[in-house]
Amino acid sequence: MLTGLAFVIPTTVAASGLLAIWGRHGVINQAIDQVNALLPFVTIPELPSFFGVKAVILAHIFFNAPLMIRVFLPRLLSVPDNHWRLARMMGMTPFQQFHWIEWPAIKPMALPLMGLVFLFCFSSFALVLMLGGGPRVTTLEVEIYAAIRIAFDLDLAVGLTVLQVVIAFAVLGVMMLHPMMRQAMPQAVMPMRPPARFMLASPSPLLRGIDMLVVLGLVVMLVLPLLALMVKGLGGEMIAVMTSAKLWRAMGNSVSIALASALFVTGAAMVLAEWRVLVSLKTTRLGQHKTQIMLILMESSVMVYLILPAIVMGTAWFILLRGVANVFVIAPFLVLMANVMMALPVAYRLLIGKWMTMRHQDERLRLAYGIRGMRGFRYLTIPVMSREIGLIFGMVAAMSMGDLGVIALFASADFETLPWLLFQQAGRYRVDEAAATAVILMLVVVMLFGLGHGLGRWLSLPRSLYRASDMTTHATDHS
Amino acid sequence: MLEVIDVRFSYPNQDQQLHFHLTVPDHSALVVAGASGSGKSTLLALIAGFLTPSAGDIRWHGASLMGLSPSDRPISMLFQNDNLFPHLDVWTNIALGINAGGRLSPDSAVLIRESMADLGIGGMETRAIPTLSGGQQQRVALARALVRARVHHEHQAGIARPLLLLDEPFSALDPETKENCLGVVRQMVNQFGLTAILVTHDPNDAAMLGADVFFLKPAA
Repeated sequence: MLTGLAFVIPTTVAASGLLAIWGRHGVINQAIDQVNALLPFVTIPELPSFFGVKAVILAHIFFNAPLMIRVFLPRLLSVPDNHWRLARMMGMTPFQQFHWIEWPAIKPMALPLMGLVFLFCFSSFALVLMLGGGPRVTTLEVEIYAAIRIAFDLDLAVGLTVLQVVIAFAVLGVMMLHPMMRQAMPQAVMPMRPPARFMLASPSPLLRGIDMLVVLGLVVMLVLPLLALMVKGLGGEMIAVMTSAKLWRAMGNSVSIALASALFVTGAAMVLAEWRVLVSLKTTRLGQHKTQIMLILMESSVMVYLILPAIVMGTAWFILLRGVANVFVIAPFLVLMANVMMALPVAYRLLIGKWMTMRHQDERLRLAYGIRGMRGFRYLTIPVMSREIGLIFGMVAAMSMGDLGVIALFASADFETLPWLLFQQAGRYRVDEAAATAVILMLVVVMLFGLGHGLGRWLSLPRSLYRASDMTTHATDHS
Repeated sequence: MLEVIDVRFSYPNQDQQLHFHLTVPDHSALVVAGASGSGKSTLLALIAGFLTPSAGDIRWHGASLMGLSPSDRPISMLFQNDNLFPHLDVWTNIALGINAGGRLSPDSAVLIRESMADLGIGGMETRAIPTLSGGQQQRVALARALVRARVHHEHQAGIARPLLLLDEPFSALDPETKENCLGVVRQMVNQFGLTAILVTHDPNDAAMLGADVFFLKPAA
């Protein structure tokens, strides 16, 4: 469950959480101050400035370590119990278990996952912007942002954008040679269910102790920033922030965009998935050649999210539209469009596997009993796919709510979102205000994700094609 | 001789207690039969050391096996499925039975080749597991058990593992292949002096193996 946090928590919130611990005014330095006040002769030195490379690296570990776990753990859990029994019977050492059993299980995913993490980090924007600490630590995305918003140098922005896309395409081209690449992302974002039992090949107390320490360290790394943020955010400035009209305006904008994105993406992903099924069942009117082209475009589109990060997409919109419209007036529409375009391929990939399997399994029954169109969709498709639909809705809403990509280019005094407001507060060193805003943003994101979960549960409720009263009448007739 | 003396075992959150008491002479085969839930597989897991009894003792040649890890017990076990590592070839799967560290003495290599020939899978050393038939896969697993038993007898290396525990390993095979595999087990008992315990649902297996049958009653 904790590993899922990294997909829900916005980058701005995570950055604020890390600052709440390690920053100059963070929890650790506050504790050191208090201890120093008690010590008569010795002074413990405070932590130096957190901003810079170490902060950026730590933040990326915060987001990518859970991703690694979510891909590797299911593969380890898929090792048959009998293989762990064989390992015990053969007296394998921990290294031998790793060599013969664990590494072969995770090896197929290792390279694609490394590539995926590289691309995620390569296209990182908000974390570097908030934690880089200035021009010394920067990325192409941050430079694109600076070229547009600070230097107003559009030629530079275009040049950097092209460079970004070329490098990302090159890396992706190499990665796509690996057949497991496409599997890595859906596995990373699908919810994990805890195993019923996990047989340890070598249940020695020492190894279990080491395992516990590693797990505990990871839990602390994930939870501590959020706890520190809660402590700091729920303190002095929360009431002031809560009563600010600016916050509620930003909240309204963010929630509207998040819900609209989620609704649009979920609906569009379902339409695309059903269309993909109809193509595979050969019931569309497109010719074979056109169909093949469409399929290739759809299947490869999942990688667009990696090649074109929000800031790159936003730059393209900015340059395309600035001649024909005031981009700051149509900013809400642009942010919505960017969110939809980035989330749709991921949503489609999450949906398509199970959707295809389900529809191919029951197509003959549907044909035989004439359960077609919306009736089939409502009574047969939706209940089976409810979990995935709810997950997509919640995930897209949470991602859109926390995004600080496109908004960084289009934000103005008239149009702000919650992450942008948080970024502004952090940039002006209003640490307590930023912490309070981050807590509010985190709570809203969790609520939106929960809304998706609730939607999934509601959609999974059994619905009969027949009226309950018909069944009652039938039963009475027999009695 | 293997002695299972008043061994008792209960699964967590289950009221019923399983109770086992039996003796298996050396160089013989025993078929364990009984209804589902009577504890046939549990008996083998207790002997192998994968489960720990709440009471009783399990002895091999008079020495208690209690407290020994599965790798220190004189056993080789075959399961109904997943007996082999599918990403490794036939040779490596068998060699792991002697040394999981990946190092083999020349004598051990000879032993593996002999055992493969004895079980009719000679020449398949480099074959990938998924390319083998179900019967061939079980023969590879049996070959691994055989080298674990013979490595002590003939080469005086490692501990003796002449006790072969078979947890329905042939139940998914077609009748002809199954008969063939049971013949291999009979050969391992008669020719190489192994002691085998076979859990099965099929009463004909005992006749094919030439073994006594031990019926387990369902737990009260």
